[in-house]
Amino acid sequence: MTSDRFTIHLQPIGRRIQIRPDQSILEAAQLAGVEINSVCGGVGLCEACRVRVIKGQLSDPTLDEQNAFSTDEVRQGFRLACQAYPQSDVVIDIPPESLSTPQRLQLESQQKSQELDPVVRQSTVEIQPPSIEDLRSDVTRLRAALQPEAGNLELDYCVIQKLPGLCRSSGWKIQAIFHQSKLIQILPATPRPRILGLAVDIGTTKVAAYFVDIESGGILAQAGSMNPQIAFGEDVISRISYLINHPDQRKHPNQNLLHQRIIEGLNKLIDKMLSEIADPLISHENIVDAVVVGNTAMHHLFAGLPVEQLGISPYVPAVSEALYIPAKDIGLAIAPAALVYLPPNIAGYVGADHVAMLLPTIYPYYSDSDKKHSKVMAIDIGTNTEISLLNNGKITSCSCASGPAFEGAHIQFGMRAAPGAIEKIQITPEKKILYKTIGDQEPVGLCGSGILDAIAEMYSANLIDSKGMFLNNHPNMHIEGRNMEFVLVPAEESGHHQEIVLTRRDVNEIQLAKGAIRAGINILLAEAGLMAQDLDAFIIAGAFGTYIDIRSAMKIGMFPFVPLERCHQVGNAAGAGARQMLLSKRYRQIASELANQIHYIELSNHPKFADEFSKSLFFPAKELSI
Amino acid sequence: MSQEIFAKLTNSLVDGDPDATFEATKEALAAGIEPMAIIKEGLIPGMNIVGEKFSCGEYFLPDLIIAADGMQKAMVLLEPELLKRQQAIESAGTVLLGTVKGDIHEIGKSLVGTMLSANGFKVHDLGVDVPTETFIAKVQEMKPDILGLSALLTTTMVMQREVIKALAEAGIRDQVKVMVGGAPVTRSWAEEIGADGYAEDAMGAVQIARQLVGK
Ligand code: B12
Ligand code: FES
Repeated sequence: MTSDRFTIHLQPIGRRIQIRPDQSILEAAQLAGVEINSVCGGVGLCEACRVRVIKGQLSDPTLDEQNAFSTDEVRQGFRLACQAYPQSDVVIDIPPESLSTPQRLQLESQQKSQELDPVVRQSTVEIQPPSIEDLRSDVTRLRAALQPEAGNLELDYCVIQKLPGLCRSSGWKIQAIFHQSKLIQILPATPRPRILGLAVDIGTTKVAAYFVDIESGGILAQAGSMNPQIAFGEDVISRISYLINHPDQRKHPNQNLLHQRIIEGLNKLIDKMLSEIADPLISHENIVDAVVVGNTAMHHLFAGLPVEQLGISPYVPAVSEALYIPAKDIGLAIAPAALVYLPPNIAGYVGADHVAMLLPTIYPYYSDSDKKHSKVMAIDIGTNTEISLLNNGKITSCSCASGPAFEGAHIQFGMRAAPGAIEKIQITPEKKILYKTIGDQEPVGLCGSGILDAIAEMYSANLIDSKGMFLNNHPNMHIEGRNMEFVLVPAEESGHHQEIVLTRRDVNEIQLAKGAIRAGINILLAEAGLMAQDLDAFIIAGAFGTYIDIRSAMKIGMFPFVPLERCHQVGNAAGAGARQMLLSKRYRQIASELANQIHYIELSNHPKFADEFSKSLFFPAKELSI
Repeated sequence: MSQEIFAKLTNSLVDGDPDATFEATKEALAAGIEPMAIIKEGLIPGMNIVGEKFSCGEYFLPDLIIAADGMQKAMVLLEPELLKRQQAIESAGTVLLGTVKGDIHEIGKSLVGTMLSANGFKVHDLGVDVPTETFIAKVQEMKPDILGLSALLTTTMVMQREVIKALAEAGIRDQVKVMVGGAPVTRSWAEEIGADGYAEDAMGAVQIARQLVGK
């Protein structure tokens, strides 16, 4: 007997969801809002979505699953969630390593004092109360009170809805909040309300949000989380293919699950920050402006725009100019008529987040007549790495597909920067291996900076050669044909009583990722006729970039050699740029100017890319003493 | 004398020095060695050693890419010479190869092409971003033994299925063996779309190609 729906019970979270027999367990989890890791977007490749069936009948294991599990694991009921379809009601156990874990997120970023000329401003209005002789409507009354500002005053519908109640409860004295000439919010006038702005940086992997006091410029709260869309695929393309493969989700781009998840995620961050501030006078209604930055796909998914065309060459965005979207149109839990500002995108894969990142990094050089002729490179390393170069007063940018290897994906013991991740490694001249983990917990895996250190140290210690070949120079080195591994942590020291190793395959993944990054850097430099040594500043932004040891990055050739005093790790520059735009009309203008002015170099058809990439796969000569 | 140059050619490939391969090829031609001998005695042995080292794990991707680069540099010099003499490398089979529409990743595809050539296959490389219709037209025109389809993006993998469907629609599906590959492609995907072969890497592609023409 076949049924058209089965109930999937997800443990240990305890959520239940009904799905059709042609929907996978991974889809069930996604629908239920349970974030199972899925690096490959559900094609059975990454083995990140391992789950165990406790009860019930699933489809037969696919070839990918047979490859993924030992016979022992098969006996224990292990499956890949993306490959398993229900044939009855089932109970599924999701092991902790398959759940997106709480992460260390990077929020702090350098902050400079800034001129304040916010788009939003407030003023107190005293309205004439009605009487039997004065029967004008409340809105007419408000317009009259606002003279001369009222000339071409636009009133949002939400304001009209609120007006009668507020006037009468606040003794006809209200606070009017304007976005340019539009009245977007009214609040009680006493005590004088604080008005807040929300700045958000939506990364493919991580989301960072800030509350800024619009009138003082101060940061009132900040919060971060994983991007809840991760359950639909680790990289942008995988998420877009999810939508391409689910036509029902595509009908209304502003209702698809990916859009909904990011909005829900942001609303949670907003609630969290409000409860942190814990001021009874500050609520969602006080958040009257917002700036949201992200790469082009994140931007489109947030804005509820179609993304299918971004998944297929030639990757054209639906819109690249700056946008204002009323918060209520997308369900963002701030003042409903607040206009969410989305800065312009540069190209299919260089988004508003990169424009935002340029504001605190390259723009200070660009705008300063004394420094305008400096040569400055700014790089934001992520699943997509964006690079910009200032030379001769002009900015060129490119984007390289470095992939999520530095997020720990495709690395045997790779993990994100969470407690227990090894973040620093050193191999002493006596060949002792020293390491430090996040939260000083027992080690369970390696995060990006740890992987980078491990390879750099192994290379320095002559345990791998310039091609990445493993050399039998250490008791911890195990080489058996194609299987080569170096034991970083013995089983008895680790948190899961398994050896933590780095394999030849892992090194190869990093070679691909760092090769793509270095090829992008080299092409930008070559197009400008510059050498890395000519750079006056080399600015590394983003979470991963903040925690890495730059010397390791240079040793493995991911970065060219630039004197260390010219390298700056600046933290979340995109978030800082978003805050600048929140506080200043001028910065919004600058963002548009920059986006127009930037010369974008498409690497996809660049004649030198393949050559630079192949060369950059190797580790550079060691003589370069760093 | 020629033994010395052959050794030089072989070693330049094994050591991953494409410029040296190029120079040694020039030197060999200047010394009056036949292009066919240069390929058979100098280059192919070199690529075979690289291939073996790759299979046993001593070499990895970078080595393969760099050796392929050397091989290609040498072929730039040798192809016109072969043409002049109206010679062709005797072929283990012909392979039509390309990256599917919408996808411009070429490195892996070209590597597969070079390894196949080095192992005696005649390879026609259609390049990247190849429309399905072009694959069909070229299969009809060239009648290759094997059609190799590369895709590196989850969004372009589906084009492999399209091409196989289009072959069937054109009534020529049974005239050509289809093998598929690329980072997101898996064995079960290959089975699902009805491909005849799948390989994880360039050496695997050679093995599969041999099997496919073997019968
Ligand atoms: C280099 C690279 C590029 C270069 C390509 C340059 C070129 N001329 O080829 C550039 C920068 C242009 C590029 C562009 C893009 N890329 Co790209 N790119 C890569 C990267 C870093 C390496 C790919 C590579 O060359 N590998 C080395 C080769 C040798 O390996 P291979 O291709 O897998 O081939 C081997 C096997 O697969 C097999 N094989 C291959 N083909 C075939 C065919 C047959 C028949 C057989 C049997 C076997 C076989 O044999 C090969 C040799 O062993 C990967 C990341 C990674 N770590 O893999 C991303 C990656 C493939 N790119 C990605 C993306 C998203 C893009 C872009 C959309 C985004 C962007 N930032 O611009 C564009 C798309 C352009 C387009 N229209 O196709 C994603 C794909 C994600 C996904 N889920 O699909 C990846 C995985 C990175 C990531 N995770 O974000 N990219
Ligand atoms: S293997 Fe299931 S999501 Fe990748």
